[in-house]
Amino acid sequence: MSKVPEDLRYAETHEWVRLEGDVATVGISDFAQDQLTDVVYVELPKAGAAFDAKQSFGVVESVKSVSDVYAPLAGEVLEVNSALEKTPELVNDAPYEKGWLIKLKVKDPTAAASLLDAAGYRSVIGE
Amino acid sequence: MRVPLHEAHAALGARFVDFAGFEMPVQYSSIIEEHHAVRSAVGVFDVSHMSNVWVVGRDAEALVSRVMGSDPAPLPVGRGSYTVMTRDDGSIIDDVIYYKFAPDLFHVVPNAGRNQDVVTWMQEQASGDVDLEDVSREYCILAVQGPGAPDVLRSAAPAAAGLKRFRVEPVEGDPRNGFVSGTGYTGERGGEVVLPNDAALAMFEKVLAQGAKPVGLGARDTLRLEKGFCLASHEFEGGRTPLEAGLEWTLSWEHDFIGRDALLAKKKAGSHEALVGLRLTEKGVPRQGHDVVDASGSRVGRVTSGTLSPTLNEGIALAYVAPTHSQPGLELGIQVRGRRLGARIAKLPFV
Repeated sequence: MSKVPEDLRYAETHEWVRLEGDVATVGISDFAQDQLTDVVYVELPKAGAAFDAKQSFGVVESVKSVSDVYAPLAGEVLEVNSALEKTPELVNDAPYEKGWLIKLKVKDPTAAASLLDAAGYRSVIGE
Repeated sequence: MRVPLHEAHAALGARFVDFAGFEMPVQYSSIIEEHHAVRSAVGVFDVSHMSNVWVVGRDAEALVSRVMGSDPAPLPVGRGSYTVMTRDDGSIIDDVIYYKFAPDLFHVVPNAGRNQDVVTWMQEQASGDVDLEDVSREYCILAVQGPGAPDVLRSAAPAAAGLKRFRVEPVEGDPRNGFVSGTGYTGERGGEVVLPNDAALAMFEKVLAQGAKPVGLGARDTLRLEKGFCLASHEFEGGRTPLEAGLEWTLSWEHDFIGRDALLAKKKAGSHEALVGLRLTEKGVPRQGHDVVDASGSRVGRVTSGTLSPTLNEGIALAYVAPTHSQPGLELGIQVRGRRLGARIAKLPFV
């Protein structure tokens, strides 16, 4: 059973969103990090880069695989988690806290309502 | 297909992956943890998906001599040899280890899924008094590897006491009842135990009880890659010869083997690609299929295997490159998802 915090929204592609005003913190779910296993490298965009919803904004690599990560909401990158350069395993250890990937200035915060809630995501991952 | 110990792996929390048609443990806890366990302590791998073939009869040694790159004639009884089997044109059919239990009794270990090809090939080349027995699904193979492996092996299988590299000892009497060899695919001390299926679980449990950590194919790949060892399905793809793959040292030119003449001609011509080790000089993970480029961006080669080395915490790769671009220390680039990552040719082993 993986952790699926109630206060977050989720994309079917396993990203989570914590929305505070129009700033969205984005990461990958506990289920996703468990599937990937040892994350060894994270490729993130630069601050200022803009993404549409469902557009790939980076890559999370484990020993055995490479996975794209997709913007759950359209927006512009405010900040990326620079700690992941030295310590990519934070994505495994604390996917919802220290292992966050990017912060987005979201164009339309109301679009978060069309993302999955915790219960919706749990049925996506079959838990 | 499942290996006999499948349930034991599932009970240990293994995640499974398909390899050569077999459902194999890729990891139990973490690839990186399992890798470090083998380098610093002791790990046990179930590699029962690999193949086992007996070669029996008065003309067994003559057949082995004909098809193998190394010469079995001077090999003492109780010794193993790592080499390649090549076609007439010198291309590799498989890399194998074969063991000489007697001039009329050899055991060959081809890679997983290659037993039928190997047996068919050897059958075609056989003449006189020789029988081939494909017993791949009758034996399990457990590899115990790491600085602590000799102690674990000795406790679990007394025949393994004092076992030196590439020596092989029957577990008890007839080698068909099982044997232990001073071999492995990790570059660490230890050996491999070949046992009939019904004896495998007890051995596995004994080894685990001695403190060996179960290790999957994920770490098996990072371990062998750090040592620059070839994986047939990667480094031999596309008709590669032992000259290209850096395996000329496994050949014994003095004996006549299939492919020898073609290989000698290629050696003289000296224009073949070379398998080299590459270390990334910036962050990233090289993978099979990535192009290797020179300073001007022209392709000079291609990656056959790549990973993040857990020991070095750097990307490492094996790649075939043009002979003009194969010198150790040469700065090249690897194209990873549209970006050129700096890399340098490194001598093997990486670690």
